[in-house]
Amino acid sequence: MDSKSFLLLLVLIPLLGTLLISLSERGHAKAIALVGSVVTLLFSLFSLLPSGSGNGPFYNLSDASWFPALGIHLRLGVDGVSAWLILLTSLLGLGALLCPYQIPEEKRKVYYGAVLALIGLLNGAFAALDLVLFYLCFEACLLPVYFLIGIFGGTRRRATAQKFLIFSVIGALGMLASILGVYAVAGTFDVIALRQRGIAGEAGALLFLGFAVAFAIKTPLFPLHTWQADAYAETPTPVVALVGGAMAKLGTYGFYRFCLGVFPEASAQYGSVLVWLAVAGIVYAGLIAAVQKDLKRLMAFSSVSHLGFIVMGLFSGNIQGVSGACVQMVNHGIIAGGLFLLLAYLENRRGTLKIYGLGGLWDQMPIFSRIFLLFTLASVALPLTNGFVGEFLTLLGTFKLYPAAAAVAVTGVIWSAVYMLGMYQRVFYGAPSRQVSSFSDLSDGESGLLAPLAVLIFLLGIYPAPLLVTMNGAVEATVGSTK
Amino acid sequence: MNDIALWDSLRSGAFALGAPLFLVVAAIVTLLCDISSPTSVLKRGTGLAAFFGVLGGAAISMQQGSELAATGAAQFSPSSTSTSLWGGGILIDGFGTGINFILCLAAFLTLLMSGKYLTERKLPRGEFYALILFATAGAMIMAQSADLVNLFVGLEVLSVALYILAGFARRDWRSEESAVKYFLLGAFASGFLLYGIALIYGAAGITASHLKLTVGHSLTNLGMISELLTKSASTAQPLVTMPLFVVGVAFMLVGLGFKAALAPFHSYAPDVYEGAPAPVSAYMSAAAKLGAFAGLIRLLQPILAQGDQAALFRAAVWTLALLTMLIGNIMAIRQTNLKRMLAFSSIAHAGYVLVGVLAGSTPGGGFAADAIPFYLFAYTLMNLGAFAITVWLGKNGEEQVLISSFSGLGKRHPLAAGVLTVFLLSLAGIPPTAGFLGKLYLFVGAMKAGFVGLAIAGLLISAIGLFYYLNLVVKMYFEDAPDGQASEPVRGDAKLAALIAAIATIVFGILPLSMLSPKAEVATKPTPVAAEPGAAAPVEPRSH
Repeated sequence: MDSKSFLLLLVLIPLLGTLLISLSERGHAKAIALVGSVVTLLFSLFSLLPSGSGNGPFYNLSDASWFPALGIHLRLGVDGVSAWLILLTSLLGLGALLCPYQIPEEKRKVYYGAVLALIGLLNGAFAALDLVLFYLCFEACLLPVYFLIGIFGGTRRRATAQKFLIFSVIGALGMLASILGVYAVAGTFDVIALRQRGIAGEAGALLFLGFAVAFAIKTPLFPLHTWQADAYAETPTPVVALVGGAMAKLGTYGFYRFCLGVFPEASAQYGSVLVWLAVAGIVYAGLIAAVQKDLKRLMAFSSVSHLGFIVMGLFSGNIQGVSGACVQMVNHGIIAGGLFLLLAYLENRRGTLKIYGLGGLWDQMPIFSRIFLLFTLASVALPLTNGFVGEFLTLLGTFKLYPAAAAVAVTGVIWSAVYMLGMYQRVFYGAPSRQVSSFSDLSDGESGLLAPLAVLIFLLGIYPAPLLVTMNGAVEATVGSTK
Repeated sequence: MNDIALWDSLRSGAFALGAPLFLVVAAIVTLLCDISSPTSVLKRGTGLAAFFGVLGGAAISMQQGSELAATGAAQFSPSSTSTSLWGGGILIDGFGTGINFILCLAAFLTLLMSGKYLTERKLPRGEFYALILFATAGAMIMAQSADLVNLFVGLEVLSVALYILAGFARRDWRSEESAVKYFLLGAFASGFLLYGIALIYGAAGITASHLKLTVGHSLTNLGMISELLTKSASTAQPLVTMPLFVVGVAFMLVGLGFKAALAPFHSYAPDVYEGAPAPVSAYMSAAAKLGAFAGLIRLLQPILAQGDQAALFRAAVWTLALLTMLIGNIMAIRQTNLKRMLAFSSIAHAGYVLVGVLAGSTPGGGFAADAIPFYLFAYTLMNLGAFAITVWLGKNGEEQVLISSFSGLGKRHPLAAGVLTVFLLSLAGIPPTAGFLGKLYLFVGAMKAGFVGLAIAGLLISAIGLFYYLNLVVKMYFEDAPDGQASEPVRGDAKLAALIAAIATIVFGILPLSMLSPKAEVATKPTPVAAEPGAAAPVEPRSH
């Protein structure tokens, strides 16, 4: 296999898998999805290793003309950040597929096909170095999630699916307008060339806005987060592991790749606005999370809060903040992915994720409780877990330029402890309630699925160097252009 | 003129009109087959003759297009070299052959979806096929005409055939109503068009006598008009600002705007599309627009080339485009009948194309002009495909048109639901479909020509489309079926038409189609952002 083209395979294998699922029998859907996802995961390991041609921080580049009329190319390549995100996507994708979940027989093809397609499109978006290619994947990601919400959601699925789609597409269309504007100004869709050129001035600010709004919706950034909790609540819980763990990173990754990379001037100029919005989100979502009655909605708001740290770090304007944000993208993916998978296990046993009625799981489900505790502590950014590294660095970075914002954001760590530990206490301590008493603990397969994520939490918490070192070049190149 | 020269001119003339002539001959053969006795072999050849005509027309268009391409010009692009024949009244150029090819595609899909439908409704097949072929030939003449009179002749051939087709289901009062409405308003619009041509003729004559030009061509020839416009631009009485000319062009805009269903001349479209048999509505929504847009771009190109003097026209078309996009999209939201919804959606799409026509007619808008054939190609596929679904799912001679009847289709007929979803996503401009790519080309072209604001407005307005297109998707997949609606659809040929269109919609959204897509510009310079409306920014000259 030519080392240049395997990034394309990361997109094509899952999409071909989806096609195969749609053409084959129902019974084969899961097997095809698993094979496709495992192969994708194996290939995505290679995405970390520089083997192909490189250019600046980018490596494993491949380039083929696609729509010559507009100079649209299939330009693919990764840097230290996107390579990790691809790995994360493939890992969480496999996790979501393996996670046991009650699917009605006739809907199997839709479920496995959509999840597999989502993996491919996310990989495509992370590996794309052509604006139009990125847009295609970015926008096409909506469709599988839209159908997953609409088909597998609860009573409010229709309204939720519509809301999700309308929010996302309006953002995406604004971004498309900006992409066309970039083409009018710079005459190319090539991201590497655009990064070298940079777009400044008034045009740059306007185009920056189009991108920023789209990514703010995707992330989601306060006050554009209102679609998210509903959408998570109606999406099948294992898929939320992929959506909340990896797809949400599409927004923050977009900020990193396009806003910082192509519009350094506008990013520096309007960075303070985004930092303050992020801080507002950290606090606001933290407070809202504390009063949620449903575990999934609580985690959704917790995500808004943690993603706020990432956006804050990205626009902090210095290397520490940005690299902290990039590290946190991966770490939050691991933590959130793990937590949502855990919720899926609980939902399988109980049917709902309402907090009311739970209690005393500590004795009833010892393994589940202890793994859950680990992820909870990582989520509240306890030192020696991976959640600490990223958030600490983003706060450190932000403090240099925006001390007031950092000071407010620090309280976010407190809020996260309040709602996460409060939730943990209500769910796991106390006497086992009556409905809990019939729950079985995790099977070996279930806990085995979480083992790699749990190992990563400690590994990257105690020794974050692998992440920091591999991302360093990419971050320096990006932040360097901001100055 | 000696015999050989005469023969040569006849031959090249026949070659120029090869595609429409082939269709007319095929239509006559179709009719002849149809009047033969019901048991004869010829009778069975009716459909075959019609299909042969359409495929032959497509082959001739392809051949003409590739011959033009051999001269180095972009195939199927309005900027490619053109040969004018028939006294300068007929053009063979990339644009015309491209539109001709798409017209054949529209006719092909229409014929394909109508076979069983006609039998079931006990409608005469031969007449239907022949009328479709005649209408196609008329629209082709419109696309190829370089003389306003020929444009009118083509338009009338198209329109008369469409009037009959709209009322083709004679025993159905809705069809009758549709035909009467279309005929009365259409005749009125034709009157406007003809009156406009007469006024332009007068204005051109006055200018020619002022300039003391010897008139080589007829005064309604677009080449002549272009020459007069350029030569009179610096005189005291430029043709482009002459009141007679302005009113003439305005009248022509009304006439062509009616055929293309541009707001505010669109009000007939929903009623006519709703009442006419579905294959006819499908055909009408594509063919009439194709012809009208070809006419519009041929008319506007010389006028908008006049720079600042043509600001009024630019503003008028700009306003029409914005209005059409807005009205089409907003009115489509509340429709409960799929045919009416598609009618409004086709109005919205006419607005997008008009953005391209405006940009493509402006100097420096070559990319937009090249993008129009691809957009119309994509539009033809997805719109006809969506109409084909209503035929496919209908039963007992009725079409399935109520949007509420699509509830739960995803479970009842997964294939039909999937195919319709492809069309709806493409109409909404969501990747990876031809509809998305077409919109991308069109709006990039508009931006390149300096219409940045209009392009952005178009993009944002097209977001409205999501509401009504996806509402249908939601109904199909996220709602349960009403009881007692489980019969299997039977109309296999409409199914085939829909499947072909759906596959093409996806394939041409992913693979670049060098034949129809715009040609890459060699060097692109930054385009200054122009004030709008009007004032097209001076963009780099076309690279080809």
